[in-house]
Amino acid sequence: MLSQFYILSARGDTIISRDFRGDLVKGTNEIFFRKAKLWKGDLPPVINLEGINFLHLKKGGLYLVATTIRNVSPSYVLDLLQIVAKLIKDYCGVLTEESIRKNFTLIYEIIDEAIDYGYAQSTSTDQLRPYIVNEAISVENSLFTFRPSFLSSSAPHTAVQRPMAGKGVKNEIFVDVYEKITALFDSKGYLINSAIDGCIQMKSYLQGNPQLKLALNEDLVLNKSGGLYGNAALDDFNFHEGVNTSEFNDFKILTINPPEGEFIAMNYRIKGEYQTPFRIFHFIDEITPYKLDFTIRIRALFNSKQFGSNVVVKFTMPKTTTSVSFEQLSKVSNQKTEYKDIEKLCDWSVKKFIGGSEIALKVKTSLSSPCSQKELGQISMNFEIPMYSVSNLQIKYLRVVEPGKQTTPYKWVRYITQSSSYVCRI
Amino acid sequence: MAGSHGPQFFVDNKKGEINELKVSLKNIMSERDNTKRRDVIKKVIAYMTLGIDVSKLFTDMVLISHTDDIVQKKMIYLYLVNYVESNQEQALMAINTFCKDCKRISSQNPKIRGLALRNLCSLRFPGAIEYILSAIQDGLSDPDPYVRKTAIIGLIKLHKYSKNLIVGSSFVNTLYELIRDIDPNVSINAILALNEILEEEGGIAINRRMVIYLLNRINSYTEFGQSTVFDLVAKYEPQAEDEMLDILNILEEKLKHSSGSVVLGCIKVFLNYTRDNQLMIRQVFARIQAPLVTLFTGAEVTGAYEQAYCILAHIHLIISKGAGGIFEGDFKSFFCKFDEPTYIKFMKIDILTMIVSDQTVEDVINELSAYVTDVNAEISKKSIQAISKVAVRIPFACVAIVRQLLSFLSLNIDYVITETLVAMKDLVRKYRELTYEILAEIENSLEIASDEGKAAIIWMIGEFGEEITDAPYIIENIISNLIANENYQITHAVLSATVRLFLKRAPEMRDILSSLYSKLISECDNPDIMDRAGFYYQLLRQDPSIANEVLNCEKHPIQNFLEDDCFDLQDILTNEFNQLSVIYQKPAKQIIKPKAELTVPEPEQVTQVVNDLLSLDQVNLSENAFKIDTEFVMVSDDFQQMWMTVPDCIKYENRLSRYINIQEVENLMASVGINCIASGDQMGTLKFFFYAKDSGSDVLFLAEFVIVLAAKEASLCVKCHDKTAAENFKRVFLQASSSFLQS
Repeated sequence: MLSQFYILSARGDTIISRDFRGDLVKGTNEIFFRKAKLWKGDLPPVINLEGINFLHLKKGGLYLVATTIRNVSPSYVLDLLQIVAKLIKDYCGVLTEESIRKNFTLIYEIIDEAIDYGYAQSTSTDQLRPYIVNEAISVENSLFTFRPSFLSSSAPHTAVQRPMAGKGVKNEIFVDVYEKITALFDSKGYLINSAIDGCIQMKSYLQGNPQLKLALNEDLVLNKSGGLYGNAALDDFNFHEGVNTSEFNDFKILTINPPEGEFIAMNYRIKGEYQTPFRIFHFIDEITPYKLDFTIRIRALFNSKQFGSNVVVKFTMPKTTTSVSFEQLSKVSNQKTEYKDIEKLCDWSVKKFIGGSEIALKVKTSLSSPCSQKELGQISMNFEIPMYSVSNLQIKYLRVVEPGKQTTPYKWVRYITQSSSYVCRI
Repeated sequence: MAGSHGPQFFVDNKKGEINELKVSLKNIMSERDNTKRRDVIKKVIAYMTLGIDVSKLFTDMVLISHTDDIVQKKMIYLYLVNYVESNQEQALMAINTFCKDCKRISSQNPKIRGLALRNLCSLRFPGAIEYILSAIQDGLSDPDPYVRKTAIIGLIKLHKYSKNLIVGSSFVNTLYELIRDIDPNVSINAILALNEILEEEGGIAINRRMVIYLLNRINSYTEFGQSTVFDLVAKYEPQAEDEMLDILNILEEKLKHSSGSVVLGCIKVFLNYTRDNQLMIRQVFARIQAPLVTLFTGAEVTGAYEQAYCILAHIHLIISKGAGGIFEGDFKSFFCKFDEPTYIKFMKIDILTMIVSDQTVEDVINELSAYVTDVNAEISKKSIQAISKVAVRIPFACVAIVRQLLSFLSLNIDYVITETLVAMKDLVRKYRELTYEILAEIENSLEIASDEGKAAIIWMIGEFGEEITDAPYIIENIISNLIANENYQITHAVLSATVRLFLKRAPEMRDILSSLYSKLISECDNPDIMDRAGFYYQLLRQDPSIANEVLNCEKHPIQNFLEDDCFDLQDILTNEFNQLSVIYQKPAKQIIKPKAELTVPEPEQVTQVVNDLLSLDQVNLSENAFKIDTEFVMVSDDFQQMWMTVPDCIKYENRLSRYINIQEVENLMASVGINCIASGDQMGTLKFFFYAKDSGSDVLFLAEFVIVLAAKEASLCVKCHDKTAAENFKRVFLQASSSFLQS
């Protein structure tokens, strides 16, 4: 169980603080923040400082911290912190320093209902609803709005950032099939590691929480390693509490009792090969031992109706690099190149990368002393492809089961593919 | 609003505003419009949160508390709980309000009853207990589950306040009955309460009927409820194998759950039930493999790296208990991704070295080698260490791995070179046959490597000097550039390498050895190095053949490095799975301190300052009678000897009033002439050894002072021959520590 809970801003201000059990010294937030600030790299989420256990989540630059002196279950505490984050997001619309400061009485209300004396109590948005009396002050159009990584920039996320209890709530539901892909190519361009980690994420504003039926494509193959092209074959998967899977094995239908607000109905993973959306080619021309020409070509292998957005390509130059100049070899517009000398990092970005097209860049490099090619490291790509699913998992239909409802809810189904780690070794 | 009542220029006039609020509160007493009432109360709360003292309004707030509007109720409760401690005389009024709101006759709305009960149970002062008890009694049989579950938590709060009240009372039986409550939250809270109230008896008593009952309704509980139940089921010992299998069959479905706490709780039951059956535990490992991988990859997709870390730590534990084989096929899942936090990468690199096999070694080494050029130096170093670990584990690949390691030396990055050299040094201890290949390459790195790397090279030259033709010249070169006091680590390494090489190749080394000795004698001021140099000198003078036996004795190639073997983990796997011990890789007894509850409020800042001033005066006053010799210095040997012989004279315990660190304690003591001879911090337990001398009587005092930060405990033990003098010492000690000890 938790002893204390607090939310710290990135600068270390305590925005929210609650002591549940009074069994710990005050000022533990300072102990925590001092450590977090001085830590090299990322502070581990579970850590023992001065005999006190600190468990924390980092969300949108904020620290959600729990302390305890008992040998608790770390997964219980982390899940509970996650739930608190979700509740705040459901009620305030977004989880940012501003929204918390503006709604702090509401947030104390939420915390008091969700956690009593350090134990999880009412943890779902609808269970909490009757006990929450404050109304959310929504923070809109903020420049610094935290956008959850699962929402595509190309989707209407302002709607999804609405507080749950706000006035004029529409009867609607958002469904995202969200896939994060991993690909690793060796220096010859062969795919040596690949995986898809996907989830079906929902955010429900449905009135009266009706039961839903969600059908996936019937040719979906379950529990099969390898897999054929064209057929989605899932290696393993798990489900949210409110999902009934009795019809899943035979008919690929999930019966869902959607809780209010955001939840992940299903997680799945696929290892093995898939049609990678981008191919990366690279050549190194050693003109003299002190001059290198490094050329990269990237081809988008998907349909020309689709496009990759916010494509960023990164690679580091050798430590002995003295100067770098770029030459764009393709006519694709909205390209940007940048070289950061301190980290020897090249940054090449393309706003919109249409399917079937190709982009290329030549990097002319001067060196102060010769280097081995190893120092070039790797090329990594970040991107997002809206309305594209690498795995071929599809949503056939989404139905509201309860008959006799006058209004049909609005349903928004989106597919998003995003890079998790898309790397080519040199 | 303030503007409409008076000129805005006087917004600073808080006193006037509070009086104004008082009037407004009186006015709304008979007001029926809830919005108007809310506005006034909201203003009071706003002042309170700004830190303005509005405790004067206490009576008025109690008077307006008769309302059915929950918005107002919540604000009024917030106010009352906040100010009740500073308004002890009127506290009873507040308690009456709460009690009335808890009662079904006077309060129809269950939300208000629950709310009032929760707030009432949070009040901590002696007079409140009987009211709280009777309110809880009513709450436990309330028709509304919200009130019942709040009442149960109230029982835990009360138990913490006064232990004997609940244990042994009829409440315990009531709680056992409430496990069967129709409402799942009430049922779970009853389990939680019993576990905590009966903690000293080992928690809630569990039998077969209860396990079956709980598992039958498992789907009615939330994910947190389910993990509470699994925790309980894991403690149960099935009577027969059939029963065990029945339970596990019910649980198997839960492995598909997307919540980490549910799945890990479930796995704990599996592991506990099969712990004595080697065959079954293999099957369990095979069964839980896929769900665990799905859990952590799923968490990564949504950016929930914290949960992923927790799952990875459990995978790490399971692998270290011999389940490495089952994760082998999925080894690519543990490749690091570009955007992952470093704690995830560290964990994955560790796991990779544990699951690597003859089949996967090539892929794993290629992957780890790619991390060596990572922008983060820590990741880079960690992967070099990992590569050398793999070489130790998979002997047939060691030649290829060493070549890979050697290739890092051309990277021109100082920490990479240093870490690589250190790794090599460890490897030649196991694979002596690789020595020649390594030695041919490392010489050139001597200039770039940092101290630790240089020391590693020098060690290898000493160890394998007979095989390097140039060894004496390399050493000679190093010695001529050596500045003895600049770096002890290198000086140390040079000294022992030179002596060892001398024993192997005396004719070439004689002059070099003497030049090193003359250099050390004229320059070095480190007693440790001089001692060692003296020891070698004596050894060589006595009999060089004995010296050779001692220094260049035959070493057996080592099989495994001790650091890599963990002995304590078996306990964690069976007893503390899904607990913090897994993350820290240490059993509970090393991390959890005896806990102590806080009942005394912390003294305010102002009194502390006053105390400091007072204590200064007192020290000055007592100077005549008893004065600590501030000049006195003691060496640690004397201290140790005295510590063993002198009996304990005074023992004293107190509680901390605030957080403090080692340096601060030492400084405070030094300011009154009590010197610290040793101190240390072990996971939040600060330990000091102090000494002091009375300048008048020359009596010596030795003291051990221990602070347990988490529990806020401090204990002092004084050793001295003279009891009265020791009391004087204690007084000075406590005065010096008055700023952080409770009075």
